[in-house]
Amino acid sequence: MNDRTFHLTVVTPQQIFFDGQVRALLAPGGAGSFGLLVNHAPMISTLLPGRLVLTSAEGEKQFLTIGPGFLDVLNNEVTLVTESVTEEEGKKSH
Amino acid sequence: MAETLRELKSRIRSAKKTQQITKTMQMVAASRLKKSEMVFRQAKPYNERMEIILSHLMESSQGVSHPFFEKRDVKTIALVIVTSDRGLCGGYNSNIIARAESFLKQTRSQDIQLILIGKKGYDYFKNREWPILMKFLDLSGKADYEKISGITQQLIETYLSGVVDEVQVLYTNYISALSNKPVMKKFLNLQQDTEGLKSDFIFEPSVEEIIDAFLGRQITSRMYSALLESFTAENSSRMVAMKSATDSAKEMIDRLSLKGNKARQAAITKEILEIVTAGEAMKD
Repeated sequence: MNDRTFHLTVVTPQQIFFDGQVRALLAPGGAGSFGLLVNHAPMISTLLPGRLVLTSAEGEKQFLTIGPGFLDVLNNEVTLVTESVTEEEGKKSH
Repeated sequence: MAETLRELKSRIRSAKKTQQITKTMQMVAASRLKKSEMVFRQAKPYNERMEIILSHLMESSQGVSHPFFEKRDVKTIALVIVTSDRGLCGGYNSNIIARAESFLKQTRSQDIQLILIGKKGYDYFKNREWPILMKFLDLSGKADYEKISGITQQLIETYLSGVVDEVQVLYTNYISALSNKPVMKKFLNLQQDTEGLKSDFIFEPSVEEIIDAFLGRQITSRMYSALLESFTAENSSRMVAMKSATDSAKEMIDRLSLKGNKARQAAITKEILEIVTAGEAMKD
């Protein structure tokens, strides 16, 4: 847990899908795809169905497919709510 | 005497059968309770996060007008009543209905339209004086997110089209496996936070678009959570009701067995008495 990471939670109505520290996040925003790093300004954005890319604290990338949802950023606390999330198979790379 | 003994035996048999049935139902309800409680707990974080985002939205969207925030002259209230589809669950439905009745009787200055979720509520209210706007009788104790989303869409439409000016939802609060309480919550309209700006949020694409997309989902999430809670409460009430039925069946069996034993003893004593008396008589 170094200061280059922020806390991300990915929640669906059925479960907490992801809860941990990440270094970067690439999300399909309603106004275009965007990336998030630590110390981002407070923001609320809509999310379109698409691919979410997480970069873990160790630099490992994780690919998720999400449904429509919302993303909330406040004080390095990022909350992503969506109605569906699945992990893309065989896409885990370093 | 032999007659009553046979009668008692058959009553014991039937009480045992009833006990078996209620015991099974109790166990089924217990396992359903476990499952629905788990689903309810899992849905909680989502609902909580949605509330947090809503509060962020509310703080920073002052001056933005949206039909959901609109303060209307409340002429018609939609009352959503959540009951179960099946019976044998103790006071679960009657508590909700009693609460609904007291609200309906108090509210005289506004019109009320009922929206009924669950067969038991519909059975009760279909022949009463209050008009039924919509009814949903096909959930059968399963909270399907898609279906609930559909119900919420219809609710929102009736609100936006001005058929109703306020939406209240009456459902059951699940406190523990042994205690539930009917609660009423206002779903629409939403109160905009009047406090000052706390954080300066960036909105992507725009605050109006976010509000538009978000609020529908937010209300669906609340509804989903309320229904899951109600179903959990229903299962717990059924479990408790069936447990007390099983207990009283056991009590009845005990009482009848005691009676049966006494009757049998009396019959035996009588028989011995007859034989002895007959023997005595032959001696003479």
